[in-house]
Amino acid sequence: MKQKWRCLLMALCWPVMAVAQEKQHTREQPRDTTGSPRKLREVNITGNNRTKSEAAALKKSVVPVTILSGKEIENRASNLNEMLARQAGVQIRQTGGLGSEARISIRGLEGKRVQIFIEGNPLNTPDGSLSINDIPLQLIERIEIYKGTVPAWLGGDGLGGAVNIVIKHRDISYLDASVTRESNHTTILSLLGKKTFERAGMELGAGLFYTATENDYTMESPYQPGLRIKRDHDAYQSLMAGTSLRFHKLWFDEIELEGVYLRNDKQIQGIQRNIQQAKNSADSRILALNARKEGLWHGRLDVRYSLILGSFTTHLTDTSSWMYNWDGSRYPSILGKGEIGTGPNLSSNRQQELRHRLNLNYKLATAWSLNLNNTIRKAGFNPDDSLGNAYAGKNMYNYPGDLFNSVTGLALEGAVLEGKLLMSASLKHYYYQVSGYNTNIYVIGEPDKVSNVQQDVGYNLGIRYNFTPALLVKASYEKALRMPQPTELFGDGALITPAITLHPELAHNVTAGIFYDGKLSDQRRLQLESNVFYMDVSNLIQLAGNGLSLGYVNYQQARIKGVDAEVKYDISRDFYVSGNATWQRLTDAMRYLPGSNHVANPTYQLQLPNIPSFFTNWSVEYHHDGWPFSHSRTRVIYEGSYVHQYDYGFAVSSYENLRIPGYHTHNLAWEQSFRRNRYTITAEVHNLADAIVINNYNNPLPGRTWRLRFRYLLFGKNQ
Amino acid sequence: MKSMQLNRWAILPAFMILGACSKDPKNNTSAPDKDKLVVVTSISNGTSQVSYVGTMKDLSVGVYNNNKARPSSFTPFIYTHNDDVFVVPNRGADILKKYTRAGNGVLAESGSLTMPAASQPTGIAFESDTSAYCTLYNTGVIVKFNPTTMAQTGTIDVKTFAVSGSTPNPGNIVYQDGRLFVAVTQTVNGYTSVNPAQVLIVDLKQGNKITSTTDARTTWAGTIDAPRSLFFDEQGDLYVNCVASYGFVPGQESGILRIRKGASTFDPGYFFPISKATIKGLSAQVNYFHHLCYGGNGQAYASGNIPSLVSNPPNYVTDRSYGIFKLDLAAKTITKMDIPNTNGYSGYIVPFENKILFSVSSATGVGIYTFDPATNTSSNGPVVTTLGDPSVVEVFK
Repeated sequence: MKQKWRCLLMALCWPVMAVAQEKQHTREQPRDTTGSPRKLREVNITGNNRTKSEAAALKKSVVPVTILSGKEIENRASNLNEMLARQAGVQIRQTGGLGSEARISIRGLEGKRVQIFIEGNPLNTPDGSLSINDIPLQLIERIEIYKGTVPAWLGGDGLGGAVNIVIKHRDISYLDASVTRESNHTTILSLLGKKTFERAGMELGAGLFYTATENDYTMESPYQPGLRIKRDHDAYQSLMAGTSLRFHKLWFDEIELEGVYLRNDKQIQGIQRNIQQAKNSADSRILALNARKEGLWHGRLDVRYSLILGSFTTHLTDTSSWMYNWDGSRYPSILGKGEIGTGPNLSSNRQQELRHRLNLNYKLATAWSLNLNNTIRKAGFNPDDSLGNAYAGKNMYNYPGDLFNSVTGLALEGAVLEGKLLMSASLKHYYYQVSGYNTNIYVIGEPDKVSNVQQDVGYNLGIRYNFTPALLVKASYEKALRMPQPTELFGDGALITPAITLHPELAHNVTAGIFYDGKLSDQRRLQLESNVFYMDVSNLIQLAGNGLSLGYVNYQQARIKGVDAEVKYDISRDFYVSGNATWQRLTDAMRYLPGSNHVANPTYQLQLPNIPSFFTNWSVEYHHDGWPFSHSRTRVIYEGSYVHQYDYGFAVSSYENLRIPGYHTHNLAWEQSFRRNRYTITAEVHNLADAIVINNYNNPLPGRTWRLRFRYLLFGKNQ
Repeated sequence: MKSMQLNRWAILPAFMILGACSKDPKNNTSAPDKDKLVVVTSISNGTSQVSYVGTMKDLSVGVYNNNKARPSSFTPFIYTHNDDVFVVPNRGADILKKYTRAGNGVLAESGSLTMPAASQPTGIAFESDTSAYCTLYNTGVIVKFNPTTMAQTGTIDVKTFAVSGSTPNPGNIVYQDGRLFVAVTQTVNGYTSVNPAQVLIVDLKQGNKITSTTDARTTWAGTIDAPRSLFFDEQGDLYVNCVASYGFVPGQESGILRIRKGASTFDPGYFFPISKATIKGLSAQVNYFHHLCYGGNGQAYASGNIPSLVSNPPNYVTDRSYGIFKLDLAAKTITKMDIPNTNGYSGYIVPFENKILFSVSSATGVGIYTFDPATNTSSNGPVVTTLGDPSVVEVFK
């Protein structure tokens, strides 16, 4: 047994041990005058040149995109959602602390309407199994935030907003370990390492990431005046372990096999009712094969391929015989058993997936290329809740479903006028097929098996023109679609009925922007960007009811218009300031009530509720190298944010008691690195003034939080 | 997964939305200078659900908007007493609010009473200007309070009558001659019950002595979102609309039960079956009456669900499956009325100035329709158009 554990330990720590060996070697290298090892490859510390050139090309592409560099965030004691929320046009709608539901909103469209990609592969996992926040910052090379138009080579659906996370690929051995302690009893551990075998052309990497938090902050009850509640059933734990094996001397330029395991456990915090037992959990297992080959067919064809197998199992445990008052006293559950819903649940919903992505890029001429991208997703859903069924006295939950979808995009891009004018056009074909059971509560007996097949075509056009190397303008148009998700199609077996006949959501998006990136002097660089946008969205899928049950329907239409602006300015060698502001207005575009051609919709042309219309972020950064020692680096960052108040309901009443108050928040961060980033200490305080922050009605967020992070980063020698 | 559960939970308020017929068989009249009607409109767009509580002078306004209305949790229940409007928050909040009509469509805030967390206050019965009772559906308690000062003055615990779970689910409540009649639904999942229809009778003059009466001919006494589901006729007999698990449980039959004045048990000689009834003017059947309202002279009016009009799967924005009906309580006949079908968020019914008012959200009009019993005619369209589904139209009593 001991031997077994020793083997397991060695396997887990192998990258650490291997890099530790590199450390020994490194120490033996001759040192330069500053005492640092000469052989350290600084150029690779934050990613390779290939990814940097990709990022630069993206900024100059036709699509409106904000790029957040991993270098800016890798040492922060923040999470990805917090970093995203500071970008122009982006909001994160949260219901609580770390691990709580958080929806990314881009230009007012949020949740499922914003597609999340990891390395170009759609995330699309069941709710609660894997979120964007599970990705550690030090893993990220860059984050691409697409607003208005999503390039065809990203093979998913969405209504014009997308976030693509590009993972960092260092080509040397390294060890990266960090520990973070935060308020609300939060601990985040990270261990990441890679060993390269240059002669064999092989790299072996592994990572282990653990997050645990109690989220035990105090909130004012939105329901009971004067009641302050210390959240005591909001704990969250996440464990992610992954390993990868990568070859770069085979026929492929790169071929990589990755395996990831993720486990989440999340208690459910009550807001109106004190919930003490109900909780969610999820297990995810992912196996991925990624391959890249460039220069085929006379050097003109590049191929990328991904194959992903995933198994996602989500659990809801709600079997308590008791319910609880806020004073801690308890009483027998009014449901007989269970604290939420309509009775007890002990569910295990398994989703198995096969995904593939093929991307072919063909260089037609020096400045012209044709790109074909195809993604396929085949998923099977197997819900099981025998306890819930037994309690309901019938099969309410155990109805499987299947989904198959394919998105194929073909894009032509080329430049003329010596590269000053870049043009792009693409077509996307969407196909999806679903089958499941019509578990409509009005149906007596066994439900019918039903299926639905739909397909549609989207497209986009874009141009970019460089007046000078520093000044360019962009404009693009896209017809975008979002396919219905399984949760919308299949319902919950109880009061949310299936809606197999749902149609895709549709958007017509127009964006135009101006971008300046110029050096005013050796030390002063100015970046300015501003975009105006207009979106016409229809067939929006929303939850509706008839007074007795609920289901998803294609319903709302909306018009979105707005403008965002961003400035980044390196004032001097040591000072950097930035700021952005977004104004957006989403209005109801449905003239008549559904099913009627003359009964006026009372909210026609009114601003859609529960969506912020104005928000702004700003920051000031001081950075300095060489203090207090040589090869040290200091960063002191102040960040501020403001979200203007907005209404939870349509503005049809002169009274405003359903207003979500605006808020200012201020953060302060100090990063201190030593020995060329080998040791970094980060201290941060968020929401300095302890402002009350609510960005989802009746869901108070944490107030002031303190964070302290220590990171150890060691690079091996160049082999 | 979590959101799925919460969404399922969120449906339940919809049960309580609609509602209403007259507890007072006499026509309601109000002081001439004061607004005579209370209107609740409900607007939902998927990301927000808000209702608006306001008043209007009378039916002459033509168009009613929410400009002076008070935003509220979604689909509250409304009770009026003297000049006051009591807004029962449904599941969306814990605070019972009181407003006072100030004229010209204005409701002035005049008090509130915070109920226990997630207790789901449901029904109110007024004993006097200083004494009223509010049922707490989720906690099995009836709160006694002073409707003038909005101070809690006592409680009546009915938890011991729970058949399963910890509460018998007290919902609709009415007062008559020192007695409270409390419909208890005996549900554990919020939308079905397998127990006989049951009413608890609280004798306030005998130290709140509680007696229970059940009737196995039907299930689920009252409609928790329809305050007028229990009403007295001119003889003082109590009629109880029973929804039989809203049609979710095969074999259960919805119908109307009666308790004779002075009695403490259901009248075994009276049951007005609904779900198997033949309806004049309608080839289909109704599985339950959502709102039932007494109009006087043995006539009642109802809005009821017609399952055959529900799409499969349901289309929740275009289905208008609730028909409007006239009932003869003695002859036990039902007649489909010439008023458009509505969605489930409307269908409230109330007598007003010799007419019967219906709140309707139809494909041809949204607002208040009228029926004149004297001439047996209905309005061709809404006499008052509302902005948003009119979930409640009430009168000041």
